[in-house]
Amino acid sequence: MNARSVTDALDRLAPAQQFADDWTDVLARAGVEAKQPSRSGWRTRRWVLAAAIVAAIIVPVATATIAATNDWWFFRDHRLQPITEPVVIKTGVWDGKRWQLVAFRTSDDRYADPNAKEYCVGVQPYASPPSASTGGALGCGGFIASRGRGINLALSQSTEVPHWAAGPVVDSAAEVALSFRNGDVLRVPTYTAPESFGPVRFYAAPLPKAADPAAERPVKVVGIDKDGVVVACSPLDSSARC
Amino acid sequence: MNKSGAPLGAFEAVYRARAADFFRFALAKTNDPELARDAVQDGFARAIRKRTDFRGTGLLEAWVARCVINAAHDLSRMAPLLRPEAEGVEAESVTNPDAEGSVVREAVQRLPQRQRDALFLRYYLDFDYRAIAEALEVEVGTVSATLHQARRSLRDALQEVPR
Repeated sequence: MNARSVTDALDRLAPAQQFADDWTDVLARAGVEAKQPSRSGWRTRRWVLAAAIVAAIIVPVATATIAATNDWWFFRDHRLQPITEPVVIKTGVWDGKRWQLVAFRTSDDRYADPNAKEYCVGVQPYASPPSASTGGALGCGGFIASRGRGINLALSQSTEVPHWAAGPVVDSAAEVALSFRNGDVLRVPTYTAPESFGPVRFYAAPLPKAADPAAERPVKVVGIDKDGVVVACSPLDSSARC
Repeated sequence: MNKSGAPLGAFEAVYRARAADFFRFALAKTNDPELARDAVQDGFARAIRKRTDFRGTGLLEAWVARCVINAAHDLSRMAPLLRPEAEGVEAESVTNPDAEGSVVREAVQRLPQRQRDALFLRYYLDFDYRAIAEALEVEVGTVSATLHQARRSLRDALQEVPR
C-alpha cells in the first residue's frame, strides 16, 4: 500500500460527483420563504393551454460495454454535444436495487424552434463510476416546454435495474402519472434540476413487471402540478387522449 | 457580525460554492446517497435556522459543517426505521460488487468517530486545522494529532486488504 492509499481509499469511499443543488429546498426546510419572482397566472395558463407537439419518444441508446476512463460512458461512443455537465438528479431503490438518474442538456442546434431544448436522461445502477456503463442506458430527445406537450419519455430494459421510464417535464409539474393499458396509473414525484438546465424537472419510474412487454409500456404520461392540475401530457398510444 | 448572525446570502454563497463537497463529506459519513443529500440539505437548513447563534469570529463553513455532521448523525439513526430497503445487502452486491470498496468502508468505520470526521473534513472539504477544530468543537492543537492517528490507523488497516 503506497503513500496515496489513504487518498485513494477516501476517493473510493465518496467519489467526486455532481450534486443537484436546490437552494429553495434548503430554505423550505429552514422555514424561510424564498425570494423569487411570482409566477403570473398568464404564465401558468400558458403551460396548460398552449401545449403543443414535442419531439417523439426519446430514443434509448442501449449499452453493454464497460469503459476504463474517468469520463461518463455515454460520451465515449456517441456523438453527443453536451452543454451542461451530467448531474445525478436522484438516487433511489427499486426492488432492492439501487439506481441513479443522470441527466444533462445537449445542443439544440438542430431544432428550428428557439424554445426547443434537448435533454438526455439515463438510469443506471448506483455507485458505479461514471465510466462504467454496465446496466445503464441513455435516451436523448427534444423538449419544448413553452409550446410543447411539456413532457418526454425514455424507456429502457436492463438486467441490473428494473425496467424504467424517465424523462424531462415542465418545471411546474410536481408529479408525473404514467397510465398503462390495463388502466393502472403509476404516480411518481418529479425532481429538481440545476438552474443551468433551464425550467425543467425530471422523473423516473420503475415499470410494472408483465409477461407481455406491451403491457408494461405506458400509453400516456402526464405532468401534474401541486394543485392537481395537468400541466403536461403526451399520448404514447393511439388509444390515449390528452 | 450583527445580532442576527450571518446574513442569509452568506449561507447561500457557501452552498453554491461547496454543496458538492459537503455532499461527498456526508456520503462518506452515511454511505447512502439519499441520506447524504438529506444531510446536506438539512444541515444547511439547521445552520440557517440557528444563524443568530453564529459568532462572527468563527468560520461560517465550519459552522455549517457542524450542522451537517449533526444532521447526518440524526438521519443515520432514523434510517433503519424509515427506509429498511436501503440497507439491503443483496442490492449492494448486485449493483456494486466492490469487495475492496467494502474493506475500505469497514476500515474507515473502525476509526473513532472524531478521527473519522477530522479526516473527512480535511479531505473532502479541504478544511485547515482551525476550521476542523471549530467544526468538531475541539482545540486546534489536538487536530494535528487526531489526523495523524487517523491516517496511520487507516493506512495500517488498508495494508491488510488483499489485492
